[in-house]
Amino acid sequence: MQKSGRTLREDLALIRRGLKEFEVMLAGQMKHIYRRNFLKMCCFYLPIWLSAAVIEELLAGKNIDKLFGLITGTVLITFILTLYKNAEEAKVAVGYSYLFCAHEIHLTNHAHQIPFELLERNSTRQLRDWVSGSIQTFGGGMASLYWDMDVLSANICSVLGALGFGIYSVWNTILQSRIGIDCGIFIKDSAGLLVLVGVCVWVSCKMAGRRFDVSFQIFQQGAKYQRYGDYFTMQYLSDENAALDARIYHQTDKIIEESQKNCYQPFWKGNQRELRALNECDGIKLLCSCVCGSVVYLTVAQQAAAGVMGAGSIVIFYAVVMQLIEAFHNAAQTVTDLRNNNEHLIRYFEYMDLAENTKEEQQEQVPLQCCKEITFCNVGFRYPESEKWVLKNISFTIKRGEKITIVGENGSGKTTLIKLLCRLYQPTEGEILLNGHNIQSYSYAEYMGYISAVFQDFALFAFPLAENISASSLYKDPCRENMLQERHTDCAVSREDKSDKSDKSSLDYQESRVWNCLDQAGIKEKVSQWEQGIRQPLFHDFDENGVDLSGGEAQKAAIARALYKESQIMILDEPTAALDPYAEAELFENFYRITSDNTKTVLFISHRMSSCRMCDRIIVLDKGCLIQCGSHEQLLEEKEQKYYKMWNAQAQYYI
Amino acid sequence: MHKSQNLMAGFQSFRYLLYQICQYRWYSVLLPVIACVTQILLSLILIIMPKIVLDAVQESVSAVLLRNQIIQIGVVLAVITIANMAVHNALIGCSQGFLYTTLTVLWEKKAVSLDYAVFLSSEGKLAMEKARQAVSSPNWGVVEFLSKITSLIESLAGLVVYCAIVGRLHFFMIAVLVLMFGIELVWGVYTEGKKQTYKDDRAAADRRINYLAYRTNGLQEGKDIRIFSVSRLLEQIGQKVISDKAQIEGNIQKWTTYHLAVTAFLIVIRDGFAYLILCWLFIQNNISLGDFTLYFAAITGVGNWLTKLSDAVASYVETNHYIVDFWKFMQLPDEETHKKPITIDKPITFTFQNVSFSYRTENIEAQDLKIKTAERGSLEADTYCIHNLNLEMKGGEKIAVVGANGAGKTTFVKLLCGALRPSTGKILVNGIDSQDFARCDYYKLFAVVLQKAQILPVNVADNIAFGSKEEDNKKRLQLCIDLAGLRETVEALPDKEHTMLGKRIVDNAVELSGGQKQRLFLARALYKDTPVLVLDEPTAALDAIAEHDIYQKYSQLTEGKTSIFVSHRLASTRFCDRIIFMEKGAIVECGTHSELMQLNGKYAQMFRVQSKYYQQEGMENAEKWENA
Repeated sequence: MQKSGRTLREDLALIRRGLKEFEVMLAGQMKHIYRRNFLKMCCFYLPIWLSAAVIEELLAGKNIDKLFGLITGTVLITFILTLYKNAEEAKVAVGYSYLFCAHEIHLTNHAHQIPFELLERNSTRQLRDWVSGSIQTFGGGMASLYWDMDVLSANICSVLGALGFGIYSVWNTILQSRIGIDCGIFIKDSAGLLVLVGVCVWVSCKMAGRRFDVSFQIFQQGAKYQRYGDYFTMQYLSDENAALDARIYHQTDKIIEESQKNCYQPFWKGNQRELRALNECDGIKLLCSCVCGSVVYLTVAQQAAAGVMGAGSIVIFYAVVMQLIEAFHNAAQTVTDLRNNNEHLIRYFEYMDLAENTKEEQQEQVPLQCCKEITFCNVGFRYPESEKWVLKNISFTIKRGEKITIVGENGSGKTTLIKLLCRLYQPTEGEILLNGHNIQSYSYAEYMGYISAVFQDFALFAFPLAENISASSLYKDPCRENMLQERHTDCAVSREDKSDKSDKSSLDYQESRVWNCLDQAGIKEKVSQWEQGIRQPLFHDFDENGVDLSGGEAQKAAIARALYKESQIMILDEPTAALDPYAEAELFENFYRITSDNTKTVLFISHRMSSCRMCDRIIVLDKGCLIQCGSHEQLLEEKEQKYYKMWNAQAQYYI
Repeated sequence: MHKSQNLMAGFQSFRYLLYQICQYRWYSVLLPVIACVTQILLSLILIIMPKIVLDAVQESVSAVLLRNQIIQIGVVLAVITIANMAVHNALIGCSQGFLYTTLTVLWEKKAVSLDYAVFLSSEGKLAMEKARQAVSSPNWGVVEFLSKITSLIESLAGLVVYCAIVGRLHFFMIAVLVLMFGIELVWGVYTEGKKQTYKDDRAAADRRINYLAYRTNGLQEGKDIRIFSVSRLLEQIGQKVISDKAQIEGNIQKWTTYHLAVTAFLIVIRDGFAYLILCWLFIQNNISLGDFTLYFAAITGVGNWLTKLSDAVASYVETNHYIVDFWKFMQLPDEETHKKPITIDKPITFTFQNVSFSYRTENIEAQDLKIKTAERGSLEADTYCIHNLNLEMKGGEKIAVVGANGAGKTTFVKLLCGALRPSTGKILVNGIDSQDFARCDYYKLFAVVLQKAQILPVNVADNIAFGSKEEDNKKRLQLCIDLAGLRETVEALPDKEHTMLGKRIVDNAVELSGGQKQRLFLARALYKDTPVLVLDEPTAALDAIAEHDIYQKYSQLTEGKTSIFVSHRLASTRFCDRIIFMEKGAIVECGTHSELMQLNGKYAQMFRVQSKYYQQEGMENAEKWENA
């Protein structure tokens, strides 16, 4: 049986894999579900059995003692099973309470393992949007798998219980009716009943399947609509600036029109379609149930009147038939949904597999020593999904200890250059060399120990400040290690040797280092005013007692984080865009102090041409090509070129 | 006091919602009643049917009669079942339609008509966010209003009907049942209280786990995570956060289990008791077999309805929180709209008379919104205060507003264009108090370009011009695109100005860079063609040459308009008529560039600091990195 091009076997394989994956996310949850469903079934049938048994006894012997024993015994057993069931239910509820969050955290943890170049691609983003969006909007993917397995196992238990119970009753009846009564009619009627029940079950299953197909179609688009609606409500109307724009530019009507057209109306139409399908499907099921129920009463009542069956059997058979129809109907729905849901699972696994397939191959690893120089050799770069060359034939060399500014118009490729240096992307052409070796030949972890960067769109996490700052403490800077080992090399160390403190506990070590970095970044005083000092959480997202940081303070914190790493190469991308003149001057002053030794190589990217004055050399990019390279004075001589024009464009107002 | 306030809020919000849903569909209030009737009928038929059959069998009624009876009941059952299903589905359909076509529209309208000062306050933001969540889903929240009411009515009616049935047997039974329910209720309240003690811990755990799940998706932070190896830290924190949450939920569930255990025990007693009594009555020949099943089902039924009732109440209380959240948001004060239209002739002169401003209680008068002074940190308490500002701006003047971050420049802008009202003092427009204008009329005078604005997910032309279709406006659109320096960008787009914006929100949309967006917003401001143009840091994202371009064009852009240019790049002051230097919410210096340089005050100091590196003379003095 094919479903959207997949065979039953493929579907089953996907479901199995999904369940294994689920076990990783929420260990042990499914076990509790299966147990709980089994117990539910027991707790359902026991009272029915009891009522039938009591009726039989009342019609037969009216033995008080027997009745008493029967009633108290069964009721107590039901009680104990209920307690057990509730305990399992509690465990299920606990797991369910964080299912969705655990799912997202699981996805995000995997995102960290995906190579950056792959992560930034549109296709990856869309994939993640799809997976996250569908589970949030209608539970597509893992959540549906969970719900469906829950319902399916419950219904299988139900069917087994019903069948078992029914067979037991029939057997009892046959046993009793051996006392010389014609059971021919009985068998004929029962067969007729069975056929009727079978037909009803088949019809309602068919309807169930169709209804869930409709549901699925409708919800496919749900994530997209949700994103659209969320943009307006969460990002646009809740943003201070956009809200001001909305008032001043009289955007209310437009916003309502657009969000209705693209989000809410489609949602509503989808829901209406779904309800119609639900009405049809459930209507038929209920009709079948009623018909079957009436026929059961008819046949069983006649049998009971004829003395073939006990009156208690009426109760049992009615319950059994009702349960069978309901259970088969639900099971059919669930199976359809499971198979449809596989489409979401396929995407889920596609996303997860991104991390798996691209684990770093262990090439020949060059040991990382002290960085002497970095060379770009004919580097060209094009983003994977675009035709446009962002960098063309870039070649230059940076020696250790140099301070370089990279300038250029917007779109000239400055940030891309830096991303290549940070090994976030690989050059499409040419290579980047460190000490003569391609940077790809160093181990990723070691290489990252070399580089520290503050990007324009840096991110700080809502954790305590100290954790933000010292997150990189897992990296060891190989150059510093080498310096500590060989004290007599020409790598001058101007800071005090931290190895003296290595016998202290690691927490102390980190704390003083954190304070040091905060001081160098110029934010130590502010932090010491905080109630919890460096342990104060940032923002309010994680902890209510978090502090807010202004734009400038956040930038200083990011710089402190970069400093903590004590790496050879520091990169600052537009560090002063959001700062006022005093903060800007302060930042540059601080940077003199921090990096005044010769061991650190610093790269600035800036629109503020003033930063060029402090640097040894300036690299000018224009539309992806390196057009000028030299010191400020040298470049000012080239009056026809870009640098002179850009310099004057800004400087003229200040002179 | 608190409890009665909550009750009042609950009642008023209920009325409000009832009114709104009747506006949507007049019959929506009838649906719960019809649903209740069908539901009760259905459950009655289901317990009467076995009684009839069993009695018929016992009394050995003729087969034909039996068959007819069963067929009749079967038909009635089928009809009522399907009617019941249809009505309940209609309820759901009505609720969802209400959500999508009315509630969301109400929220969006309110978000914009809300008084801006209230919007900026943390209480206002909280109210808005809570209301948004309350109407964000078709599965929970305000949308369940009708269904929960229906459950309540059904449970009550079912209880009454079944009690009547049981009462026919013996009144004593009802008393016993109610007593048992009382015990369960008391115990339930106790366990609920125990669960409430975990409420704060749970909120904190939820906040943490939500942060990790939904606010960090590994994409924006991707670069930093790799460069600073934060992934291991994130994973560790993730595990801890999940296990914390599991622990707290486990504790809460523990109390639920205790609650249910007592319930199950009471059911044991009830069922056992009921069976024994009914058996005894049957043996005494007081009731028939059919009656036996009927009364047993009724007794069980009363217990079930009681449970359903308390569940329905608890459930409604939960939904009520959402309803109250929504209602409270809708009750927040709006901007003033009911004023006579006033015509203003150009040129327009603005006069600030002793204007002071801060986010204090006078600005906000809404039910139980208490505004704390200095609600944010000490840094920002000063940021949002304006002290005794006096200024006169003549029509057509070009004014630069400069100062350090936090000096109050943006607050000044918001006061000028009427989004915020002065706490004391007045702003006069050609002599007329700005408060005499209806807000939307007043906004017509201004076009603002803010620093970090957002695009609308519509095409470029609509972002600028809101889809004006007339020929005249098309020309104006093209003119504005040229003037804002957006021509090159637009020509490079696949559909030119009909290209959609908003890359991950709409299909076939593009993402503009920061600089391109800034030009887009400039074009929008120009298109509106207002007497006043306000630019707040319009060149922050532009490179040196693009910035210079804007400065060159400035007089062209602002021809015939009063313009305000807010920046901390002091180069911008060269082409303005007057410079206003703000510090800590007050104007400390005012004049032309040469006047202020002459004054040698704060402006001159800031100018020198910024121009230090551009000076040729400063070259020898400019610090370079020393060799160690």
